[in-house]
Amino acid sequence: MATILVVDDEPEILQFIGTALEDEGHRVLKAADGWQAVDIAAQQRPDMIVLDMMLPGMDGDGVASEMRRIYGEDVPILLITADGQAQQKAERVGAFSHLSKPFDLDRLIGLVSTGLGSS
Amino acid sequence: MGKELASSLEYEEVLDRLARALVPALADWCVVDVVERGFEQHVAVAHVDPAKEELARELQRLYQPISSPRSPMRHVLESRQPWWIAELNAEITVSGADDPRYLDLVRQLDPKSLVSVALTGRTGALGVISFLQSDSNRRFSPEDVQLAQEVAERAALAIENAQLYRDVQRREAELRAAEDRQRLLTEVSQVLTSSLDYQPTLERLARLVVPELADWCVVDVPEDERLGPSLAIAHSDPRKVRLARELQERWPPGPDGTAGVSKVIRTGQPELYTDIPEELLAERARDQEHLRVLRELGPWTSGMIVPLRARGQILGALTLISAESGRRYRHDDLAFALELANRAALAVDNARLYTAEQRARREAERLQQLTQKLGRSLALQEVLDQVAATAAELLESPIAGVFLLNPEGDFELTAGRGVDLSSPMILPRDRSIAGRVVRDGRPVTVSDTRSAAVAALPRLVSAEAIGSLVVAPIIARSGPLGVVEVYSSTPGHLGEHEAELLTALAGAAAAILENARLYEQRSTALARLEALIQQLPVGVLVVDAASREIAVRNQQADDLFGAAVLESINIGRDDARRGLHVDGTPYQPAEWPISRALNQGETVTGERIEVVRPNGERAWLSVNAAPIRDEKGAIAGAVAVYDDVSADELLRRQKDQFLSAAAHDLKTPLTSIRGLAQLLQRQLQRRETDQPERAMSTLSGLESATRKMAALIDELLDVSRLQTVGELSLSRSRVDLGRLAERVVAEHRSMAQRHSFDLEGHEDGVTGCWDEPRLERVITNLVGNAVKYSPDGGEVRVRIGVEQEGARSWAVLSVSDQGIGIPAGEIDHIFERFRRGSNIPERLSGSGIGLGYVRQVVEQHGGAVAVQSEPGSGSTFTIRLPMEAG
Repeated sequence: MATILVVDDEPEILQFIGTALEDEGHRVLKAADGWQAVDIAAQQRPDMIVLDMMLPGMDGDGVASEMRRIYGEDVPILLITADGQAQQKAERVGAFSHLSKPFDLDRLIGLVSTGLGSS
Repeated sequence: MGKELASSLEYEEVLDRLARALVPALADWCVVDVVERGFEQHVAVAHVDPAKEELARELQRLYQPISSPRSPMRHVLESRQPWWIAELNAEITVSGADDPRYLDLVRQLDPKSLVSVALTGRTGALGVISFLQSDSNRRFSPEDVQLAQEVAERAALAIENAQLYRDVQRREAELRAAEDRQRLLTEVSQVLTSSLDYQPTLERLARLVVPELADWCVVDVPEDERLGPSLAIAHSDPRKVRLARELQERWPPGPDGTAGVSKVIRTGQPELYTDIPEELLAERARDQEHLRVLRELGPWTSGMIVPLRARGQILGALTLISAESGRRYRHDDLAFALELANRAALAVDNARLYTAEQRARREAERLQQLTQKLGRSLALQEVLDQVAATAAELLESPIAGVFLLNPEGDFELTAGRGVDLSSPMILPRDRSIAGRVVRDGRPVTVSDTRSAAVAALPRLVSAEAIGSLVVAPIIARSGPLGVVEVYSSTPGHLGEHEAELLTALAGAAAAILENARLYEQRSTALARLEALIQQLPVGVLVVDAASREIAVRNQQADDLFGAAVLESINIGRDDARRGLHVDGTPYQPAEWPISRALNQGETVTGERIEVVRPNGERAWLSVNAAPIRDEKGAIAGAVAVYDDVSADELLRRQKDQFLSAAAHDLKTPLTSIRGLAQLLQRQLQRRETDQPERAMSTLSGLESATRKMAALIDELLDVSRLQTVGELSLSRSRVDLGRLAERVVAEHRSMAQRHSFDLEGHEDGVTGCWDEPRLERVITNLVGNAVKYSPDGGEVRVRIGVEQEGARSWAVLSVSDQGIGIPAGEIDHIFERFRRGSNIPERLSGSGIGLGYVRQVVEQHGGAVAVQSEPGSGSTFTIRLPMEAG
């Protein structure tokens, strides 16, 4: 069982990712914006972060660099983006992989396992 | 005596000696009277008393008995019978005579006896020889008559020989004279043809003639039909020449000569004065002093005045006077003088023609020079001034004016020399010389205004009177332009010749003036075009093919490219303008549209170029370019028009941005839908029927996501509709503004965990007849923006209330945040479509359509939107809606 922090400003997205990962047996922490995500992660180290790039307040970039500042490279990040330059953004952020909206739920679950397995 | 007779060969002397040889041996008194061909008479008289000889001569001269047809002498000559009166008495000698002088002479001479015998030679009767006895008181006897006849026979032979000899001598002399004249004529001809300057030539001619042909030679050639001092005066004594000159100075030849040189010049008829008697001098003298000087110049013997005639025209007169030499002119001398005069006249005529030709050539050269000077300027007034100045200069006159036809058809003074230009001067077309000149197309000359009725002389000269004037028309290809007038204060100064010159000048001036006019018209047209180009809202460049430089450019073009850059351009070669193709590569000099139009004749339309303005700003241009062709179709230049379409381009880019933002925004609910659907699928596959609430939650998430998507699509449709149609069709219903706001805030409250929401007045029942879904989007936009643009959190306050404004009630809703605010300069633009604040961080998404939409919806409801903001402290957006519908 892993603790996974899911960050997205869209309640429905938080809902289905959270439920799906809980169904896979993970413990899910939810944050609706960047600052909230950093707050939660600082209190409780997640094993992985599923991070939306576009966030109100601090965006995905900011959250990723905060994570590195606190935990180094140890917390794998799966980046979710809505635009075309997902690969570049993922590299910039230091994410192990990325998904473009609208993504396949099975693929998300698969990438989460991969990320957890590699760490 | 026979010897004496034979040896004497001089004819007159022979007669004289003959008479003397017979006195006193044969008679006291002898008269030899010889008549040749009836008219030439020679008389020799000898008397024993020298004192009485003169009386005898006088008696013979006065009464010439042989000339009287019925005289005894005549009878002797014709009958060849001697006439003998042995005893003369008073009764015989004075019978029938009542002349006191005759009676006196006869009384003094007192003849007592007489024998007259005819002198008969081989050719016939020669004359009569008379013998008279007086002082010796002898009487002739019949033997004496016999002797007288014998003496007469011998005398006749001697006389005849002497006559023959004399005739031979005379012919030889005549021959010599003819030769001399021929030589003189040859010399004269040589002199006359030696030079084309006729004055010195005629002076030489005069000196050549003196003294061979005359003692005085005077040549008169009038200038301008006025007889002035003589051209040449020759005399062997220079002192006398000086005196003659002085005489002419003191008594100049008058114009009204009825005699002498004036008359000959006027009539062309020569005059011959065989004698110049005292009376003639007195008649010609003006006064006593004149007569005295004339006498002093004398003696005067004989004279001739002949006309100098060439090509039917009298050019002057040649006067030949015989004085000291005592020579008398005869008709053959006159013929020779005429021959001489003809040659002199020819020389004068040639010289004058040559001079006239020289003058014409000089004037033509001068005219050409002046005309070239005229042609240098193209400014109309400058040309006009030059025409006036040139006309005055060419005609050596102080005053000249150029009058141009004005639109009313009258002549207006437009330029002048020596005239007052400060006040306008108009010559009426129908009452002026100018009008006549233009109508006839011919110059008019008034060489003497005193003798011509010159009506309405323009008051060009105030101080000086006008003596003569010339007016020439200025006629261009397009028609008459006006006249040029030249005035002189001297009568006769301006004549036909000056009219010709002025006409030539006016002809040249016409072409130049027309050019100048056309140039000015063109300049005006160009100036208009220039003004038009300057007023155009687009940049314009015109390039000249020859120089490849920018010939015309406007301020807009300068603003786009920079004046210095444009001035340095050599089209197609050097071009410092900074422009980018659509693909971002820079323009090479030959690639610019104007360069292609000039070099390849290409017509370019709507080419997009991104340029960097001199101030560093970027601008997007739509460029048109086309070649400019001359009448032959050759490329003379090119024009390019640069339309700054930066605003359109920005709009286009913003629309692109909007579209990608819209797509991005749509992807979010789509992701939710797909994710929730897949989650439900997984839940169903796991047959989680025991936990229906989990599936219900997923389904309600799905519903929420689809509702958001539908709302988003509605908003996009509204925006699209606003872009194309400009307004929305509202569907009104009764709406409670408070409840609507409450719903929107609730939605945001659930999502935004960093923000607190404060809602006031939502329970006051502020209602109106509005379009609910759109009003909801308006409030959602405002609240969403408040959250979005206060990224560090804070309070979002929503206030609902009512404001009274006279009879009208307004529903008021305001949304305040504590966010980044709006820069002061951008507040006015904040409601423009696709506009976002420049201080919005990159990471904040936003289509930029929100506030534009808000204003549109509120204004369509008859309301208004207002904003108050302080950068760094937050913003308050307020909407006012009319409570009553409409």
